[in-house]
Amino acid sequence: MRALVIEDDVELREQVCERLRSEGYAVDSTGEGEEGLFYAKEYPIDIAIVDLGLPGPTGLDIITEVREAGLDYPILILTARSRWQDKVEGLEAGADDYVVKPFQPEELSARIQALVRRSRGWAQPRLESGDIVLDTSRQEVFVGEDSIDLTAYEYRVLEYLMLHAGEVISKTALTEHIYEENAERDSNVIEVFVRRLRAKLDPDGTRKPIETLRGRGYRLARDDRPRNAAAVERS
Amino acid sequence: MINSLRARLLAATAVLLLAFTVLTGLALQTAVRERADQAEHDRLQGLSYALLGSADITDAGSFNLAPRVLPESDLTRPDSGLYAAVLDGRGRMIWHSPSLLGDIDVPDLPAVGQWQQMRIQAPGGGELISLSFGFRWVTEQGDDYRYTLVVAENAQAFVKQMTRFRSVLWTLLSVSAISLLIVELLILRWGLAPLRRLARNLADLESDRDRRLEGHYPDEIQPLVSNLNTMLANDQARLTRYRNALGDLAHSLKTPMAILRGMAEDKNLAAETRDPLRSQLARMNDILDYQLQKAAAAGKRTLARPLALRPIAERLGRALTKVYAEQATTFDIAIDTRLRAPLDEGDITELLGTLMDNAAKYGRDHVIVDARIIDRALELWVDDNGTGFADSAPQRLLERGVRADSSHEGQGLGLAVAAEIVRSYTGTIELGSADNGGARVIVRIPLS
Repeated sequence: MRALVIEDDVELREQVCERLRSEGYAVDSTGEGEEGLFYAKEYPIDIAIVDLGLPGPTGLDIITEVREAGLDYPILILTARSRWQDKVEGLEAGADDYVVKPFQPEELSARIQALVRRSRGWAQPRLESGDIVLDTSRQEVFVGEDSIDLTAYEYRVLEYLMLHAGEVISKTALTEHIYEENAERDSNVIEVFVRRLRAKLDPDGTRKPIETLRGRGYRLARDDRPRNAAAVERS
Repeated sequence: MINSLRARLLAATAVLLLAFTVLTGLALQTAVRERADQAEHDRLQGLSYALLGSADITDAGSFNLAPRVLPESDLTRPDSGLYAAVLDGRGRMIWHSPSLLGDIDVPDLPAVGQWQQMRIQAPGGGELISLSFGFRWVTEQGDDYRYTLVVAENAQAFVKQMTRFRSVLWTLLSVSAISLLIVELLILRWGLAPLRRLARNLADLESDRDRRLEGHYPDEIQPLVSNLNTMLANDQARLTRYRNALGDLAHSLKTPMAILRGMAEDKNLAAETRDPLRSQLARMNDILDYQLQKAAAAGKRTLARPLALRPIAERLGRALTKVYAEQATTFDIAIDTRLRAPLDEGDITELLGTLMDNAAKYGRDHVIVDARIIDRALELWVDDNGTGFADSAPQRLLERGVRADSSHEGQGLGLAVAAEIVRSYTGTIELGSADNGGARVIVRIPLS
């Protein structure tokens, strides 16, 4: 999952970024509205955390432009202004939720996770595909009853595939969503991650949870459970 | 005390007009009467001279006037209304014109050479205007006779004429007074029209979008209008500036507080350091929120324009639906589309936002918002379908700093903040139960 943090206070920005990285997000960040707007429109973002009181283009301007550009990833507002008029303006501009400063860090994480999950149509924090269960709130993975130990990057790949279960995800897309913009990238590494994931999730090679579609990418079997249909259609 | 400019001016004008009309009428009436009396006097005097000129007095002192030499034919026609008589020194009638059929009684004889005009009784009843002249006649023998010539005319014609004059006079004066009053009424209407326009515009102002008095007014009122406009503009601008300043203050304080709050998460911190750090930060935040919200409340204001409440509630409902998407909360806004109340938009948004947010947070998945105006007061209530207020004395939640649930950090002040806004409108807030057992918050704001 790739998160964008636009917050002009350096210290707070670092705190938020650090927390998100520790939770398995690839994080891009900026404290400047103009740059933030560029990232928001050009990067393959899964969620944006936007401070409303930015210098230059305000958070409100960024949200409006992002939505006008037809981008529909979830946006969380970070604001010090707790008046309802400010909050409503942000939500009307196209944000999906808000967190008022000062916030409990766990609350911020929980809101971000819920937004990402809902944007992919998952109503519960537990993502399931066959007998694989990924608990986004605790970042734990189970196959049946067994807890599986994954590295940060393996977790990112699995989370992304599970959130997009049933969809074909190209290697490029995976790369874009698990790496930050200025990280060293190598799309061959994705193959390594997928191979390792398969070995950990399916040591016997019997269930084959991750399908490879030659030349197109990977696909995780979609669970039969009904998802939150309304959230999928979210504009 | 008459409490209307128009009534005052009208009353003053009416009194003035009445006095003027009466005085004019009396003066005219007196002048005309004197003039008529004088004319009558002159006429009778002329007649007297003519009679004296044709008189023939014998040496014996008897007075003679042949009917054919009488200067007026009316003097010869019996009971014509014009009479002449001559009395001797003792007041006995020694001659009278043929027109006089009875006796004539002159109570007071004038001195020699004097004219005396008076009203006397006619022999057949009625009133006569008489002019008497005292004279003496000295014969060649040296006899000296004292006479009084009385010429009298029936007063009926004179009285009739005067009566007619009076009725015409007073009718005309009354008509002109009434016409003047009507004209005055029209003048007042026209003259006071700018004031009426000002009042109307002030009333419109309450429903106006830009809170400004438009149009040009007369020189006497224009300064007032300009000052009102300045006041209104300043009022609005000051509130906006004030709220912005408070927002900036919140921003500049809360970002560092957020950093501190984040630092309090450090796993290396000992629990005895971390917990007080967190709770003190939460306390600071509560105080800051409460005071900022309290300071930003506009409260009751004059010339506040009535706001439609439904669109504001709907807007908040749409925004909160997003926020509470996880629990799929629905907001049922039952407020009548036509319901309007003169509240500040910021205040009512804050009040409704806080109450609806609280209801969504503590309720299950359904929030109902309704409002109506009863007895010149706005009654507004927000219901949820949760478990209701657990506290045995829920009213305590309205006090500053008490939270219903400390796990929702930074939001526990909601009801206290709502209560503060309601208080700034001299209203009341009441916590009760909805029909389904959920919580119900009822707000009453007097509108008069």
